[in-house]
Amino acid sequence: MSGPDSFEEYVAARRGALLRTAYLLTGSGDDAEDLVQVALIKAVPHWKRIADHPEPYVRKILARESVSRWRRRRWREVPTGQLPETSVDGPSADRVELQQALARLAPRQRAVIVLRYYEDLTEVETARVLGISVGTVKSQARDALARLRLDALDTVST
Amino acid sequence: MTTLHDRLTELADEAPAGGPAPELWDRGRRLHRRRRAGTVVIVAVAALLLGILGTTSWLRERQQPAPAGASEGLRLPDEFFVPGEFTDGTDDAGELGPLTAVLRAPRHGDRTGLVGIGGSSGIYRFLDLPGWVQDDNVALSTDGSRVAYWYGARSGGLTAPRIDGLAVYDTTTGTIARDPIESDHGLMSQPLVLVGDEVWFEEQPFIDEDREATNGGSVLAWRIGGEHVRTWQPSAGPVPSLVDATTVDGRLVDGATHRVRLWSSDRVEPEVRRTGRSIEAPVQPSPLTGVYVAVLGRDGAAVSASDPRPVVTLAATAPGRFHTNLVPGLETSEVVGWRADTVFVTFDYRTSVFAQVPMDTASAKPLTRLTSDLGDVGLQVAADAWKGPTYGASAPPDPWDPRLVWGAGGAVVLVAAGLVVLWRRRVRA
Repeated sequence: MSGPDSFEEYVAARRGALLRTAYLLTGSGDDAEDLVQVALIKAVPHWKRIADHPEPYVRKILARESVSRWRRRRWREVPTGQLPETSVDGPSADRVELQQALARLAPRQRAVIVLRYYEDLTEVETARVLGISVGTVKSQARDALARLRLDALDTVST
Repeated sequence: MTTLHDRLTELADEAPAGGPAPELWDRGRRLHRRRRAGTVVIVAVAALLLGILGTTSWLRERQQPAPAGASEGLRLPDEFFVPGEFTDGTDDAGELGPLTAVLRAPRHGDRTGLVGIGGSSGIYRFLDLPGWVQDDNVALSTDGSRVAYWYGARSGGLTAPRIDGLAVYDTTTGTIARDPIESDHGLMSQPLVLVGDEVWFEEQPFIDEDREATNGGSVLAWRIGGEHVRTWQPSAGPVPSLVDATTVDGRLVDGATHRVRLWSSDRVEPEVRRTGRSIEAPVQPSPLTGVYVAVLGRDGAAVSASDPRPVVTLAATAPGRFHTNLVPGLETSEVVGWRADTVFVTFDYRTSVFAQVPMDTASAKPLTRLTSDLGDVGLQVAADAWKGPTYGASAPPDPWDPRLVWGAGGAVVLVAAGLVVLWRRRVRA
């Protein structure tokens, strides 16, 4: 089965997880939903080929789209005193702090952090997903972590 | 202490659950179709542009050979052209065989090239002459099989080129025979004449490094591939004048004022024939009839060299004398050769038309013409070619600069590739 049915099955099963990753990549619920939709739509033309194991391909589109969108639209959050979005109950101080710190990272640095420390990909896998070299992954991760520590996240261990 | 993973997981919990996402599959298929359609259009347009570029380029460089003739000898086009500067050279396209004519033409921008016109094919091709100093003094043999030229180092500016010797190019095999001539500062370029198997030239070595002043003026005859067989020194007697000299039966003919001289490398002294009237070189001898033809001399009259002059025929009536006959009603700039035993060929500088003139009627009839907007291109027609059959000539190729063609092709591919990438990124389902 490699047609619409398997695609719908995959969407139903994995959309939530993809939204969580997209949320970390974008920092916005609406953008996360938009990003996931775009990634899934772009996966459709290749579905016949990737149906057996679609996750890596979709994740690759997700991560690259989050970076290239920023390039196209100069879409970068400006750090402000207020979070762009809060849950009904309101986020904890730690979450706000982390969200603001992530927002201050360059999109590629943020993608490296999300892939390496949320998705638990290796450096090689992260490099493959983003289409960059392992050395770039290392340097981007190092810079991003240093920045996070500067932003009072020094209690965070990797 | 919490890990970064833990804190990212906590933050990710705030992600939206996701509302309905209808028609993702259909939107994906639409995206695919739009991407493909756009890509096909861009690739098709690029292919069309490349096709137009390639076809136009090919048409411009394609040579239209002369119509097949009954014989393989030299043939005469009804028009001579100046080809484009990116026309093929013999190094790449091969030798042309005996040539109907040679002429100078701009080559690759600031260079001057010597163009050969194939005797039977009519094809134009630059002659890649090793070491040619790109000067005006080249000589084409009567049968079109050899080209004599000066070799050395080209001039970089106002300084004359440094000439180290003369060379003869075989138009069929491409082989070069050289005659190196020793001098401290090189030789000055002087007219060359191919006389049978010999090249006659004037040796004028420069006496200064700036190559401004010369010394000497001896005329030498070099047997091609061999030795100098004769030297005429001004201090020892008369020397041949090589400017506008012609040849007949292995002898060089120079003419001026009231005499014609015939020189042979067998003898120091020329055979001199008085003409009775002043004439002007070149004097064209007919090998079969022994009649010579030339224009009348100006004798100090205030007329320019290109103004038409009356024509006279010279017939030997007694040893050492020519009887001169004015050709009635005919004026021309120069007599350039013989088309038949009693038909000579003239050239009019004002119209660039070569005409054939029967001696008995003197009625000039256009034979061929030179089409050039470059002024004097040094057209030299092999003497035997004047006797050949004529054909309707097509304009030679005018290829584009290959760098321009490849650059334009590359640019089309790059722009198309960029548009495809841009389109595939930008297109929305």
